[in-house]
This record gives sequence, structure tokens and C-alpha cells, in this order.
Amino acid sequence: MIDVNHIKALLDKFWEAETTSSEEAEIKAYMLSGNVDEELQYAVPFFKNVDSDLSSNEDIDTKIVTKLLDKYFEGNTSVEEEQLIKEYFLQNNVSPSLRQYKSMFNAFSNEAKVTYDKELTLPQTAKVVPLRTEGKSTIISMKWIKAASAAAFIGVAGYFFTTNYNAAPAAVASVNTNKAAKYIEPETPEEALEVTMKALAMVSRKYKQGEQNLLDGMKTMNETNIMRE
Amino acid sequence: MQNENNLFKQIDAFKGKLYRFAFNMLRNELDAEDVIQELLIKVWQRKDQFDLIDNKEAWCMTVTRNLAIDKIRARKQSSQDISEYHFIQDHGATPDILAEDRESLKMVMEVLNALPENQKQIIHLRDVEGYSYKEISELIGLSEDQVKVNLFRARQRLKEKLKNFKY
Repeated sequence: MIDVNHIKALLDKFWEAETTSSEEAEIKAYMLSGNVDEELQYAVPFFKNVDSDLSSNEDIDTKIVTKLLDKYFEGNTSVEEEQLIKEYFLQNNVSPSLRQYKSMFNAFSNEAKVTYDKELTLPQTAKVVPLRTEGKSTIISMKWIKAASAAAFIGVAGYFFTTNYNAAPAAVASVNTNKAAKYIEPETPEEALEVTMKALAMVSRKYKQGEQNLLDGMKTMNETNIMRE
Repeated sequence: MQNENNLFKQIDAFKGKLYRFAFNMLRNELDAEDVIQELLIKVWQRKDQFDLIDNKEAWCMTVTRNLAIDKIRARKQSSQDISEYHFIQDHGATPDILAEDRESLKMVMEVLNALPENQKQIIHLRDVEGYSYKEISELIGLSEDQVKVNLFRARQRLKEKLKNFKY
């Protein structure tokens, strides 16, 4: 019983041109035995014609690669055979008869060299806010929060615009009748602090109102199930 | 619960493959990076189940493919010129030969880009990444026979273009 792994090892040595003549005779005997393992069948035609092949001007590598290339274009090569072909085409000593295929394997090789060096972290623009609905965790990405914020902002801005627009004639009227809103000029630091605190409190109320709108908006979007998981 | 670093460490070993696959489909670096980011979000969303996935590489490749397909469908913009992205590595060649290689390489890239989407993906997965037919079949949801037929057609198209290329 011939050990296929032994022949494979010899064959690997042969492709690297490291075999002795007795080892080559052993491979040839196996290849001509008519009982060749399926995985090694690709090399049979080469060894059947090895004497005539070696007597021609073409070198062994070119003979082998030409045969393997035919198999490659038929889609019948193994990954290992394809690796042999690639190695042949990536060295500089490619036979003129095969040069037209070099660029193809160069292209594959170049593509394989492309690396992704960036660190894998969650994108800042997609930091997530977990919401819980019916016991199931739902994640809303930042872009949806931004959309909801924009919608809330437009809503609040629209409200103020409409209110101020409607109130404008009254304000003008009140100015005209000397009943305009009071303008307080603080005269002491305590008075200034009090006015500032009132202004901040008003901003805070408006902010909370806007935040509530945002949460309502998010809740509505969540309930309408438009998020993609 | 997994933290972000530990979770994404499991992807680190094959992130290059994911990026190359996305780039191969989209031909645009920014879009390919977007796909990787979207993939990370998907992984993060499933962080509790991710450990249970046997073949994380295959899962991530499939998700990457689906995200890239979504992007192809969504966008209308023209793609990046691939010839600007690839560089000939043949340092031993003379300048004249290099120019010929560059021309030939450009033609190869044009042929590859013009392949039908399935053929383009299959030739990338096989000839660039070295996946087996079975693995490719699982990644893109075709039978092994269909994978072989697509690969055969893609290679034949390349052969037809290249065999008449004169140096």
C-alpha cells in the first residue's frame, strides 16, 4: 500500500526542486501506476510526459503552471494548487507565454494586502440608548435621537414663532400705549443675581419642556416599531 | 456582560477580510468603513448571543455582505476608481514592463468590476481570501455547484480578456 502522504511530501519537495533522482523516480512510478489518489491527479499528465517535457526548452515550472492554469480556468483547481499558481506569478521570472496572466494574480495579491488598521470601537455617532419595551431591549441609534431632537426643536420653535407672531401686534400696541413689558435695570448685585436666577429658571423650564417632547417623540417612534434591529 | 473591547477583540483577527470584502463590493473606502461600523453596531446589539455563534468569521462576513448590498441599493453616487487604489508590487520589473503591467492591471480591474455581483464576490472570496467552495456557499447562500459555475464564468471572462493582451 502506497502512503499518499509520503508521495505528497515528495511532490512538495519536487515542486521546490529539492528532490533526488531516486525520489523523482519514486514519484514517477506512483504517477504511472494507474492508482493515483484523486488529490494528486493533477500532476499525472506532467509525469506521464516528464521525459519529453524535460527535453524541451520550456522549464519545468512553466509546464506545471500551464497545466494548472488550464485547470484553474476550468474551475477545477484546489486551494493548494491555486496557491502554487499564485506563487509562480508573483515572482519575476514568469515565462513570456504566460505573462498575460501575471496582472490578474498581481491584482488578487494586491487586494489581499489591503489591511484595516483602525481600532474596532463603536462609532461616536452611533452610541446607543437602551429603551425597554415589553421586556425586550430596543436600541435606538444616535441618528434617530438626532432626528427626534430636530423634530422636537422644530415643534418648539414653531410654537414660539406662532405665539410671538400672534403676540407681536399686541406688544407693538402696548409699546404705543406705554404699557410695554417691564425692562428692569438692576441697580444692585443682589437684584442682578435675582434677575439672572429667574432667567435661568425660565430656560430650565423650557429645556425640560423640550426634553419631554423629545422623550415623547422617541416613545412614539419606538411604539410604531420603525427601528430596524 | 461583555464589554466593548472584549467583544470586538473576537473580530480583530479577521477584520481585514471583512473590510476587503466590503471594499470589493463597494469600491469606496468610506463606504467600506461605514459597513464595518454598522457591523460593529449589529454585533454590539447581539452581544449576549455573539458568544454562541460557532463560526464568527462566517457570520460577520455574511452580515458584511448584506450591509454592503443594502448600501449598493441605497446609493446612486459613482464609485471610486479602483485603478487608483491598487499598486503594482513587482519591484524587480523594469520601468517599461511596469507600465505594461499597470495597463494590464487596470484592464483586469475593469473586468473584475464589470462582473455580475455574485461572480465578483465569489472570485474575491476564492482568489483573494482562499475560502473553500463550501465556505463560499455558506457565506453567500448559493449551492456549491452554483458557486463553481459562477467562478468558472468569472475566470473564463478574465481569460478571454487576458489571452489577447499583448506585451
